[in-house]
Amino acid sequence: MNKKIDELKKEYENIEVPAEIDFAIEKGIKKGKRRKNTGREDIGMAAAVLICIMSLSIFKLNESSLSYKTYENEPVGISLSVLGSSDSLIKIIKDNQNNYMGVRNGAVFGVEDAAIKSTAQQGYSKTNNQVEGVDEEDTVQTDGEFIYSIDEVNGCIDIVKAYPASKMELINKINLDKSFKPSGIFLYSDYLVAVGNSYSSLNEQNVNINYDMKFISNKTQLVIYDIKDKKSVKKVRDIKIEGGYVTSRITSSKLFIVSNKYLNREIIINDKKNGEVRIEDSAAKGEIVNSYDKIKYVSGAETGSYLNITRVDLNNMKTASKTDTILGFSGNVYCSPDNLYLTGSSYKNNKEETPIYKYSLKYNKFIAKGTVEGTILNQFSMDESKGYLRIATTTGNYFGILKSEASSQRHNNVYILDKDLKISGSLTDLAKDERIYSVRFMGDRGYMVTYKEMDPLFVIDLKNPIKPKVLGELKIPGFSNYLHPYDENHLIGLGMDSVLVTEGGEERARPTGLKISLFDVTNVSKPKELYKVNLGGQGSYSEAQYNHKAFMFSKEKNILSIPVDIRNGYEDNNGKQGAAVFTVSLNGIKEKGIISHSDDINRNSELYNLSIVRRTLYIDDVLYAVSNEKITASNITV
Amino acid sequence: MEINDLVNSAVRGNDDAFYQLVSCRKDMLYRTAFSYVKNKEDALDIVSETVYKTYISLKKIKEPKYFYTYLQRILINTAIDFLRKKKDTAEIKEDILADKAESESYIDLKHSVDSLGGDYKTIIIMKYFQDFTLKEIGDILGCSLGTVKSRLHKALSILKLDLEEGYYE
Repeated sequence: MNKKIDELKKEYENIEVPAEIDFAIEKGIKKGKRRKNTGREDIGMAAAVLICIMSLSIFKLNESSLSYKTYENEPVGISLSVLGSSDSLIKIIKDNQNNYMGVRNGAVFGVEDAAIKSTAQQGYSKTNNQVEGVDEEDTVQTDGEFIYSIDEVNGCIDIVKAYPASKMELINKINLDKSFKPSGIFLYSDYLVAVGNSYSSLNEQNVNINYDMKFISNKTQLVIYDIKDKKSVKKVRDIKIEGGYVTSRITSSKLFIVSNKYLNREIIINDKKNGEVRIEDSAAKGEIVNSYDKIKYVSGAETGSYLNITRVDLNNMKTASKTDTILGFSGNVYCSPDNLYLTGSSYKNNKEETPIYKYSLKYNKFIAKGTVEGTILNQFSMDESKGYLRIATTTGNYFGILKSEASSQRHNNVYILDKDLKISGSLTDLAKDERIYSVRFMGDRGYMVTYKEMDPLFVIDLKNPIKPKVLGELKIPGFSNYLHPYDENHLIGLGMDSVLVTEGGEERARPTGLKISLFDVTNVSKPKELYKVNLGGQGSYSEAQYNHKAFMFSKEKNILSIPVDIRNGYEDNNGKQGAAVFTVSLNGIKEKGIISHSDDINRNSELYNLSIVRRTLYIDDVLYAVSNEKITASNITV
Repeated sequence: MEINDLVNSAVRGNDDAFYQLVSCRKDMLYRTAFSYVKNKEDALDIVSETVYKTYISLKKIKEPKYFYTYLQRILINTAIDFLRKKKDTAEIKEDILADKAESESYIDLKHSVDSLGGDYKTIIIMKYFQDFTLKEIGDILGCSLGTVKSRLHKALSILKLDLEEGYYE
């Protein structure tokens, strides 16, 4: 009878998939976009500003300074060939179309750990940047007096006078192009920079244009506003780059934007221009074209897409931007004050590899390419220290759920790469059958959480770049998705707690709710979980588990705040969402309460999204919670 | 991990990422839809509807790694909904096929799988055609491993398939 099943399976596999499938997918996306847009218009609510006062605790802030390292000599750089013509591009992308796997938001920048060093200069919080001196964009920003926040619902950026809290006021709304969907904003001097994707390609009118074409024509957009006069904001710059937005960073007054342009061989054969990269920049005379003679490649590179790095001098708005394009793909991006590290993902001969490109921010060119085994989790999987790149990977991680057989060979690795991205030292085969849930590098030490049923926290000594070693290991239930330095010897972990259950004769870990832990790594061979606090039951979630920008912590102010969605079971629709506030010190972790923007929660309503608290920030002793609907202010002094 | 990246990116509004995510499962989407409705037009409609529902509810995906679990769940619900609606207009058909499945003399396995009720059919498709593990099927259908096992057993017994030990797991 097994044969019969096998025959049926064969039959299933032989079901011919018609070409119209692409159109069917497109139809679904278009319908979804329409629904989202209609939702936006129907709601049409103005942002309300509301104030409430809560009691928490107090702190004082220190200033900190930035330091930059420089190269003594200009690095030689990797040998790059110029494409020259569409023919050579077509030849190169002939046989490895599936070399890239995805796009990625978020990047990493290294050397000094921002979390330890940076405290806001003027007594207000900044984006939870990974690296000191390297700014990351976020949906909400403050300059200590005003809060700037992307309002997804109304398609604008709100400027709210937030300080003093007793007189909060909505000052202005910057209306954005309908097609522009900013992923985040930066504040730099008198400028507000919004970056993200532009989706003009999905216009109804374009229905008949080749489907792939439309997606490929997706653009990265960057709009800069002069916000000196908050009531009269001026648009001073508008840049559009062909390719999907990946991430951006500001360091030393330069803005770097990473984007990927997907390549389709068939389209390029028919339209050579499609293999070039076009940039519209309001500061340039006419269109900027990165033509074939400007596009470079490294032999053996991934060829499904172009990788663009666009740089904008924020101190000189009249100078046109410059874009470097190479064949390659950027997934996760990590940036130290000196270098951008762009990683892709390739799958060759049944092996997952992470190609890494190193781009010098000083010399504006690609200076090295390297490859390590396995795939990386996120930007925190990388860190630069003393010229070495440290990178943690998981092997056997490929497409988790559908490749359950892969887990049998799963293990984790830490590599130390020299300035030319050659492997200097490595630790391989760590935590067999588990995968990395979070990583944090702090100076000469690395901390790594892997998980299957129990959470081992590894402490790794990276002092000797030729011979990294595991110093200690801690096994506790649950896992941390994010590790944040508390001080040199303590770490805060955010993740899920779990219990072991036996199901169908097999032991498996079942997540039981959110968990915040304080780890003590003073004795590196014996790391300890000093304290832990649980929040909610099964199905609870915090954006900060997967997006460090939602994690707001200040050691000085003794405050930790994260957006949470609290449930008691996956089907529970009566939980609570808002910003959970804690005090964290070496004496313990205490929950102070949840700041919620809505009491009445129908999780399926369109309005539900409006009241989700996305970010918290502080100015002096006031904690602000920001949702699409409103901003609330709470006093954090006792 | 790229899948998590893609999902995160899609949740933040990157349609390109969303397209990639869905597109690399397009064969699975179509074949599964086709297994339920047995005709191209309806199968394509179900794919469209599935993509639409997934797109508008992207933010509900709590853990990026479950994107495909979620997609599969929406696909199956959409297909079953579609059949349910259709059944209102053409009710007789299924009964006839069910009778055939009952009859000892006529075991056309293909038709009997088609005649199985929603959940039973889904489990057979996922387990034997798509090679999901029972645990994964439980995750997708939102039920316990025990339930999946008992339903699979029931489905196989309806089909009068006495599979040897090991074929269950």
